Amino acid sequence: MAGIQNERSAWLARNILPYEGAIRARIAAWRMPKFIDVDDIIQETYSKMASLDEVTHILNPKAYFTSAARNVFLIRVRREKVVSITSLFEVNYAEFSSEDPQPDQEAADRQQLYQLGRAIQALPEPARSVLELRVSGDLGYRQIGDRVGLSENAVQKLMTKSLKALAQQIGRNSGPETGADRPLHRLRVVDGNG
Amino acid sequence: MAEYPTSSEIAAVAAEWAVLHDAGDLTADEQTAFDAWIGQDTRCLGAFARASAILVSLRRARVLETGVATFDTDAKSDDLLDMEQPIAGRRITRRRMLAFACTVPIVGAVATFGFSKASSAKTYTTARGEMRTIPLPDGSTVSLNTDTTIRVEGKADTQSILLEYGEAFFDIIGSDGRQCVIRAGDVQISAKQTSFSVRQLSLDQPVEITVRLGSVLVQPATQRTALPSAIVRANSRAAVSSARGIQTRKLRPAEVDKDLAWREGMLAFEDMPLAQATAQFERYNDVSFHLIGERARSQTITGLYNSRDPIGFARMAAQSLGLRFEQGANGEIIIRG
Repeated sequence: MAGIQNERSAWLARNILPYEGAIRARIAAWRMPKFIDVDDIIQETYSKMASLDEVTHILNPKAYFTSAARNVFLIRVRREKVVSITSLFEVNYAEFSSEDPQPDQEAADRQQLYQLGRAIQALPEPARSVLELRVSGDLGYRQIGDRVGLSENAVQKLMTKSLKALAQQIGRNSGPETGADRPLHRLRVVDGNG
Repeated sequence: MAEYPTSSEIAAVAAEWAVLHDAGDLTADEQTAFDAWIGQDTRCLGAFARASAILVSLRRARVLETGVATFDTDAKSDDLLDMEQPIAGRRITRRRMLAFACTVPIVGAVATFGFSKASSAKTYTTARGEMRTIPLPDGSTVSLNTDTTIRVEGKADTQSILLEYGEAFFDIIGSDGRQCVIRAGDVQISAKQTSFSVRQLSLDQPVEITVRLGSVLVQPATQRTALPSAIVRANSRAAVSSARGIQTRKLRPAEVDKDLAWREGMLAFEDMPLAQATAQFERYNDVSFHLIGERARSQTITGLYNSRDPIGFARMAAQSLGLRFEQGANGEIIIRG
């Protein structure tokens, strides 16, 4: 049965989410072929992190995630087989060093929580009240609906919309546009530009 | 979803699934549909994991903003068994303390507070220099520092944790609505959505609580304990003892982080007397320090050090303080001044 345990979600929330901005910026600097999308890499890497048996032994989660993303990237590049040799060599392998100094975990975490807090405040009503009721209390979706005068279904839809919007914002305040809406182009011809 | 969906299309569907999981148990049909969706593309599980993690973060962000959680003040002494206090003033080593706990007369097969008869309680221990993180069912975590023992039991409405000895950091999410109640010596700490550490290195010293996020409720653990109740908020440290009550001090966030540097394998000192600093290193390593001379004992040290490198620390400290460092025949670390 696929899915994700609460523990893993909490671990990702504490150890990976605060660094997403920095990780995206690093990935974007890898000078990728046009057909590879940063968001695809991020999602696949999250899949790998979610599937690991154990994560508590990982001392430097940010470096671990970045290394895993590098592997995802290399596998994709090899799979496409349409990238010219030159452009592969152009990729700066020095970027892949995991000799990162220990990131200041507490500061990154606190900063992201502040940003999320502000993002919650910026939500329109009734989405904001619905989300605040859900994450700060023990109210179920139906109870929230009763309280704000909406159906359980409507509450769920509002939560989904808010979550989608917030998910877009995380990790994207810094770094270049990733063009997430661009569908993957499959090149049939070797592209000298890589 | 389309033939080859974009990552944002996948993210949109992932948000729906994350909210559905958050709303309650999936029906059999929903579960089948979910499993099928996960199988469609390697990115799906990742997008779902990310969305779920964001929901967790929203919960924590909310606590940070308000700084207050509601407490169930009724969950208290009824569950607790009195633990006879040993004579104060003697430095109780961990072994002696555990041995003592075993000789206390046990009433109704309950060994320590809150634990039920058919005890599903689990004990976790770290050796010297070891650190462990224990996940709790609702996604909360307990991180044990060096030389620490805790006992954990989950019940219908409470998650009970006994800190027998040592230091632990608690990241409580409370996503299942349960309250988390921690006991250390005479002190009971209730937490719902909060991050804080608790330290008790000997029974004759106060229980130290450092709150990073959210707030905790501190109460006496038994009816016979002479202690007030108080709420300790984020960015403060409380020293709790029957003798002196609850003494709270506000901290800057950077000071809180320093207190928690051990979680990243470091020790942070600011104007700490060398004798205290070396005592810290003895918690994490199998070494003994000998400080000889007045200067060696009283000079203070500042800096960030690797907790598992006592020799490196001694060398650097000696150098910066103008003291002499050497190692004895049995591996003792000697600092003279």
